[in-house]
Formats: sequence, C-alpha cells, structure tokens
Amino acid sequence: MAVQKSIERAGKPFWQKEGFQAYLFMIPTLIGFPLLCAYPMIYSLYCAFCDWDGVNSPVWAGLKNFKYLFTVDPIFLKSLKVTFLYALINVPVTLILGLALAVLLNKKLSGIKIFRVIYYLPTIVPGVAAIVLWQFIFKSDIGLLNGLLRQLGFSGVGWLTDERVVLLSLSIIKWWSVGGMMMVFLSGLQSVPAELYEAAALDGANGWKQFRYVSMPMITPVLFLQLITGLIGCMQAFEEAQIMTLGGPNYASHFINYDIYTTAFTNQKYGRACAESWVLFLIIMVLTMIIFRKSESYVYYEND
Amino acid sequence: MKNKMRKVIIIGLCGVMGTALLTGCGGDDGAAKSGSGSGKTSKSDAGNSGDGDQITLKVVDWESDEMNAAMQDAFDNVFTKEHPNIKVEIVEGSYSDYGQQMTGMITAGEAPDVFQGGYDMGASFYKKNLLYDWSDKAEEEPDFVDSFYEGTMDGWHLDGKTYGFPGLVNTYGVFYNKDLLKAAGVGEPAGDWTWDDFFNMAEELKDPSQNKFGAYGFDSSCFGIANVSTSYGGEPMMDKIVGTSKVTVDDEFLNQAERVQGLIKDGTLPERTYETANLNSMFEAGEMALLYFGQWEADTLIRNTPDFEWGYAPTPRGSKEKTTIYDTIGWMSPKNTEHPEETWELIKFMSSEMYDTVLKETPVAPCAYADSASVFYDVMKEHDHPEAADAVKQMMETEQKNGIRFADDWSSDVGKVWDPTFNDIMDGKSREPLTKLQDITKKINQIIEGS
Amino acid sequence: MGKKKKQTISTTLRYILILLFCIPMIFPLLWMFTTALKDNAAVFKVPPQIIPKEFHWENFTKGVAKLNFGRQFMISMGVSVISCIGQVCSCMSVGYALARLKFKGKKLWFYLIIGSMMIPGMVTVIPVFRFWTKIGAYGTLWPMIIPAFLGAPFQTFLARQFMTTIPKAYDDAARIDGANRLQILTRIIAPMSKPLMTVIAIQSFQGAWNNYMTPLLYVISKPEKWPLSLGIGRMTSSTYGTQWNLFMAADILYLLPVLIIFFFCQDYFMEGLGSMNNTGVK
Repeated sequence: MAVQKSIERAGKPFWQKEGFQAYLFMIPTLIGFPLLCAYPMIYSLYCAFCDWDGVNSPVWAGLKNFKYLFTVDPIFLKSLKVTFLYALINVPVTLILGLALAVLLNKKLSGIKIFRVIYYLPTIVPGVAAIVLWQFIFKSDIGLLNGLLRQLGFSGVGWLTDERVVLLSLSIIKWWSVGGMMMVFLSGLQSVPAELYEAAALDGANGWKQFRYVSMPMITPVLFLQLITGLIGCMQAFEEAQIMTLGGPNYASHFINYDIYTTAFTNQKYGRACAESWVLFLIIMVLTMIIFRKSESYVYYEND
Repeated sequence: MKNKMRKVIIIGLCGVMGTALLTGCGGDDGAAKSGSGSGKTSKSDAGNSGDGDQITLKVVDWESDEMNAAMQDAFDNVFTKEHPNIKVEIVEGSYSDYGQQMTGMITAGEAPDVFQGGYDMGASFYKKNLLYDWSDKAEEEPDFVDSFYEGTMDGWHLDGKTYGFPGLVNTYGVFYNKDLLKAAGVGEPAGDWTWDDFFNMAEELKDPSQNKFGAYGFDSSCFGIANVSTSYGGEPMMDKIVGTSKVTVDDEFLNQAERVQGLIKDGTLPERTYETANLNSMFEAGEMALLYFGQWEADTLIRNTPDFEWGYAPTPRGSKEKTTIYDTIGWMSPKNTEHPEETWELIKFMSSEMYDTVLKETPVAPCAYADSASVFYDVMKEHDHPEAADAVKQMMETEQKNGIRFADDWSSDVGKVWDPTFNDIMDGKSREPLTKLQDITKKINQIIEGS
Repeated sequence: MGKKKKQTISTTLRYILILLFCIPMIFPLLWMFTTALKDNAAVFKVPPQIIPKEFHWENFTKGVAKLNFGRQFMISMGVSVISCIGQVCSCMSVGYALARLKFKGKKLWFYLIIGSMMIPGMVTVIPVFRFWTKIGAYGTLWPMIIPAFLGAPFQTFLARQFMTTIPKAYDDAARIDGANRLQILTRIIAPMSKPLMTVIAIQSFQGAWNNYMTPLLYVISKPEKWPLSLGIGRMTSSTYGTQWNLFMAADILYLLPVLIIFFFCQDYFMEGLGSMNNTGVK
C-alpha cells in the first residue's frame, strides 16, 4: 500500500494528484462558504458596531448598539428569556415524545406503514400553511379549540391572547410535527442489531430493561444530533411570531430571531439588528459547545 | 414496478423543470438588464430620455385589484389623454410587508416613480433621505396645496420641506348592525352622539355569558385614549403629528384611561390583547352590533353584502369639543426619480382628479382634495347610506385631530417601553396605579431627546 | 397468563395508543379541509361548525383563480426541482471529498461546515441581500437558485456520514479497473447511496417549495415571478380582509405535490434516515 502510494505520488501531473482533485470536488463549499457565510458574518460584525439604516452607508458608533440593547431596550432581554423558555419546554418534550412514538411504532404490525405516514404528515405541511391553520384553531372566538371547550361546558382559553398560555400554544404546534423526529428515531431503533436484543433476552432482560440497556445506548448518537438540531431550531424560532402572534400578546412570544427581523426590516435599524444576531450566535455557540463536551460521557459511537 | 414509477416521475419532473426554466429564464434576462442600471431608477423602458418622447412612469400601491383597475382606467383615459407622452403603469404592492418591499426596491435602485404610503412612512423615509423634495414645486403652485382639506397636509411636511401629498383620508367612526340594535332595544347612534352614549350602548349590548363584548374595535391604545381625552379638554399627547418632540400624559388622559380600564374590567370592551384581525369579517357575519372601524369597510359592505342593514356614525364627541383621528395615506416619490417634471404632473393628478373616477368604483375613503371629496359622499348616498356620508364629512371637517401612531424613528423603541406596562395596567393584570404611565412618559421623552 | 394472550393484549394496547395519537395528527388537516368547503360567512360563525352545512367544492377553483396559480405553481416547481438537483450534486460532491479523499485542511473544512449550521439565519440575511442587490440580482429568482448549488451544510454532513459507511473495497476495485475519482463517485458510490440521495432530494425540494422568506425579500415587487409559497402567503395579508375558505382550499392544493412525492419515495427515505445513525462527529 505504502509503496503503491509513493509510486503514485512521484511524477504525477498535478491535476491527477489527490489533493488537487479533492479541492475540485469541494468547489461548491469553497465558493459557498465564503460567499454565504464568512463574508456576511464579518460584515454583520462590523455593522454591529455601527448605525445603519439599510440605505445609506453604515456609520461607526462604537458600543452604542450593545449599550442600548442591554440597558435601555426592555424587550431584548425579554426576547432572550422567551426564546430560552420556548427551547426549554420544547426540546425535552419533543425528544421524549418522538422517542416514545418511535418505540410505539417499532413493531411489525399490519398497517404500520400507514400510521407512519400519518404521523409524518404534519411535517410535510409547509410551515406557513401549518401556522395559519393553527392560528385558526387557536382563535378565541371562532377557533376550533375554544368552540369544543365551550360545547363541553368549559370557558374558552386565551390561546393567543393570554401571556401565560401563548408559548404553550406555539409549543403545541411544534409537538404536532414531531413526526419528523419520530422517523429518525424509528430508523435508529430499527438499525440496532437484533443479536444484541437476543443476547439481552438470554441474560433475562425484559422489555423495559432491553430498552434501557440496549436501545438507548445504541441510539445516543441520533439522540445527540436531534438534541442539537432541536435546540438550534428552537433558538431560531421565527415564523410563528411573524405570521401568527406578531410577538404578542405583550411581547410574550417575541422570539429573539423575530426581534432581529423587526429591528432590521420594520424599524430599519440594521446596525442594532446585527448586534443582536451576533449575541444570538454567540449564545448558540456556547450552548452547543457545552452539550458537545457533556456528550463525550454518554454518547456511544460504534465505529470509533 | 417501483423503479419504473420513479423513472416516470423523474422524466416528468425534468419536463416540468425544463418548461419552468424557460419561463423563469426569460424573466430573469429582463431583470438582469434593468438591474445593471443600478443606483438609478432606470424605469423608462423605452430607453430614451423624456422631452416629448414616450416615457412610462411606475406606481406602487397596496389597493385591491378592483381599485387598481379603476386607477389604471383613470390613467389611460384621463391622464394620458392630457399628457400623451406619459404612460402610467401600476405595480402591485403587498400590504403587510409593504415597508420592507419599498425599502428593498429603493435600495436596489428599482423604485417606482410614485408610491403610496402612510404619513408616518413618509416622515420616516424623508428622514432617511429617500424621498424627492417637492417643496419648490409646492411653492410654485400654492393654490394646489391650499385645495386640500384643512389639516390634511400636516403629516406631509417637516422642517419646511414637502415630501408628499395626501391622497386618501382615513376616518374612524362606528359601524352598527341595525337588526342587532333593534333586537337589543338599543337606539341607533346620532350624528352628535357622545362618548357617554357610545359606552352606555356598549354596556347594554354586552353578553358575557356568550363571550360577547359590547363594542369591538375601539382603539384603546394611548392614541385612542388621547383622542377621547382631548375631546374633554385634555392636552394632545403629541406636540406635533410629525416631528414630535414631546409626549404629554396629563390628568385628563389618566381620567379617560381609568374609565376605559373599568369598561375592560366589566367586559364591555375587549382586553388590550384581544385579536384584532378579522373583526370586520365577524361584523359582516352578523356577530356584533357595534364596530369602531375605518370607513373603508363601507366599500366592502356595499360590494359583498348589499342586503346587510348597517349604518355608520362619526367619532363620538366629548364634553368640550369634537376630535378625531388623523390618518392620511398619500403619494411620494423616491429621491432619484428620473423624470421630475412628468412625475410632478402625475402626483398632482393622483392626489386630486384621479379620485373623481376611482372613488365612484371603489369608495374606500374620502380624498384629501376638497373638490373631489364629494365623490365619496355621493356614492354613499347612492347606496342608501346618507348617514355614512354625513359621518365622514363631519369627521373630515373636525378641526382637532390626533395622530393615529407615532411617526418618527423612535416610534418602535418608545412602543416597546410603553406598551407592555400600559397593556397590563389597562387589562387589570398589573397592580401599578395609572400614574405609573406618567413615569413612563418621562422615560419616553428621554428616548426622544436622545435620538 | 399464556404468552400468546400477553402478546395480544400488548398488541391491542399498542394499536389503541397509536390510534389515539393519530387523532391530533390528522384533525387539524381535516379542519383545514372542512374550512375549505365552507362559504365565507360560515367560517366566522361562533361557535365554529365542525362539519359544514353546505359543501362548496367550487372554493377550490375560486381559490385557484384568486392567485395566478398555474404560473406560480410552475415557478415553484421549477425552482424546487433545480434546487433539488443542485443540492444533491453539490452535497454528494463535497461529501465524497470529505469522506474519501485526503487533502490539506480537510478537518478544518468539516468543522466549518458543521459550524455554519449554527449560524442564525438573520446574521447573514442582510449582508447577503446587499450582495445580491449590488450585482443586480434583486427582483430575480437567482438568490434562490444559486445557493442550492453551493452545498447545504446539514445535507453535506449527512452525505459524508453515509459515505464513510460504504466499504473502501468498492473504491479500490474500481481503481484497479482504471476508474478515475469522478467515475468512482458517479458509478459506484452514487448508486449505492440512493437512500441518501432520496433524503437530500426530498428535503431540498421541500425546503425550496416552502421557502417564503427568500422570495419575500427578492421578488416581492415582481408578481410575475412569485413562487406559490409567496402567492399563498400573500392571500392572508390583503388590505381588505382574507377569504379564509378560499385560502384553505388553495393551501391544500399547495400541499399536495410535496405529499405525493413523499408517498412515492417513502421507503428510500426511511432507509436514508438510517444513515443518521452514524452521526459521530469524529
């Protein structure tokens, strides 16, 4: 092998060299990353320290934006709180729910395929359509939920008008589309080699024990990935606020991403919006790194 | 079987994609060409530069398809007849992301020649140096400027510069459902009714057991309360409608706020956080007797539900005087408009004569231009709603006007400081006394000074 | 209790639970369907009617007529298919390089790609908008199409993970037969990665089909270039109130293509998701 390699390396024209060809294959990212990633990040970092109305050129303003965000603006810190709360509710619930449903569907029963599709259906509904649909269901007067509640004799709930309830309502929408996560867990469960279960059964383990000591450890990589993507997704929640609640009531669903959007596009304070988005980015990075560090202890990689 | 199906799908998709590519590309090429003239609003597509040659001016607004059709009619049959070398085209705008669309277009150098906007948008764009300054032209033709209803031009100039002209005026009165009022044994509003009348009616109409409030749509924001309070002799909240430099919350304001707070508490008026979308649709479906709303709903009612028995009353008055809300929508031009002379003619037309024909088709609002405003009244009378004509006319002639929102750069920052506390106090969710609002006002004035 | 009886009880229990959870999954979609069939006044009745009194099937045609449905549909389809192809090609290409080839900075690029998944969209939207505007792409659909060919981080990650599970023996056999690297990718690895490609294809199609924000920024001023997502979204924001029944009808038609595609590609899709098992970031 080594001899072959050195024969290969000697005297080959550069366009046949592995390194060069690799870069050819990497061209999409070589163009994409600087263009759509690095350049915007650096530019927006610069703008975070400027006053910029989006039309005229940015004007250097030092720490003005950050000072405003952390001292004068009553909503910035609140949006961070709201977003954190939302992530805190949703990430554990969707993980558990997704896993539970996957376990439920992980049997060769007749008709199981149809049920899988049904559970996955909500994920296919385009985000905007789903949100408008749920808005309709949640409306206090003409919405479906309150209609049902009232028929049963209960008084209606202010799903979208009560500050304490609105995050719950938005979370329900997320739980509805847990089918996507469920599918991932399902295929994870199904790829656990059957021998492991047999071995466990021989050792006298029942269903629950099998799950706890065989299934769970084997799917920790999937769990981990879903945790990260779920967390990042929740921290970037946006459409629900923009289409359904407009951040209300009283900024109770004013996600940080939505705040960035309104500060930039509605109020035309692009400099401040860039500052906010960098704060969000740093928070996400820190959280992800923490989770990565902790993951070393419980994630099991098969092909290490 | 599965493979065959996949092949069929793939071929089908390729065919579709090919067609779409062709359509998409065709459009793209055109856009790429016009995009290359960036930095200027190169909209004159005939390629030549004015002076008797054919030019096309572009207009953007957010009106309905029917109204745009009527406007296009007016352009083709009246304006172009008077100015044969100018053709006018309407580009559709979207209502909810309108500001973003306009900023995007202007930044990209693709702005139209004339576009619609609220007076607050005009003020904000002017501050950003985005608008064409019509002050010189306005000085040359003072008769034109004077022919607008008293007070309507207030939102269209700042620091002595005129950056736009009012087109339509929005007034806020109360729609009422005649049948529901009769059924509840409540009389219909009169033209000179007071806030007491309105609130009392609402008290009688409310039905908590059915989750029904007495009146819907009442503007219980600081602007609405300021409007009520000034009619009782209180000081206006904003010292100026645009270019506000100071916000005042006086005792009369707190007085009226307390009254509204009580009405929210006993279920006469909805809470501050009540959803306000679709109120008009609910009214059309017969779900409420009183709806405080803009007069443009009259156009929808006439068109969609001609058998519906409704009426329209003006803003109620207070003990001291009549007041009403100031809300005008007007026309403005971007800074780099290519044909200022022709655009001036167009803007004049659009703020005045155009409405003679357009409002006959779609009577959405009275126009600010006094001579053409009667069209709206006549249409209302033709459709058996003389009370609506009188109500709107009365509101147009009311002298004391209060802005419907803040019209400055700091408006959203101030909103963030004011709204949460105000809403909680009004809804009874906060233990703070109303005087807390005066503390917040101090903070607001600091923000205003700092900007 | 006999083992068989125990089994049937647990199976029945399972079925009951599954059916129970089906209800909240399906119900909103049924609600969408019934709203589409009502007439406009019935939509706003309090209390809401669960089964409409009259069935207005013509809402579907009326809803379609409100938008320029045909044209927007074609545009959406075109953009989505192109994005799909672009993403599959670029993700496979980059994934192949990361999984199989040795080159300087490989680890760096891999971590950069993962890192870029963490960036909140908002950070990049504005400068990217400036960029496209400066080169004259405002008002066109290029900002939606070109990025598809530049690799999506998550899908690239998936591709790389999947390819590392393909035994290198296949590559070596092909090399001995004289294949160059491109041929290895297209003739050997790609056919073995059908599930992976299905996942990437479906996800990118769905992403492009549902993309609302990008067209909102770039082609809002040119109605003739609107994709369906924009057209449908606009229906709810007209100045003078929305006709919800028509909107729901049009929305259902908007959903259907994605649904149909998913139906056909189910099996491959599920298999492809299995590639997520090897998601060790090592």
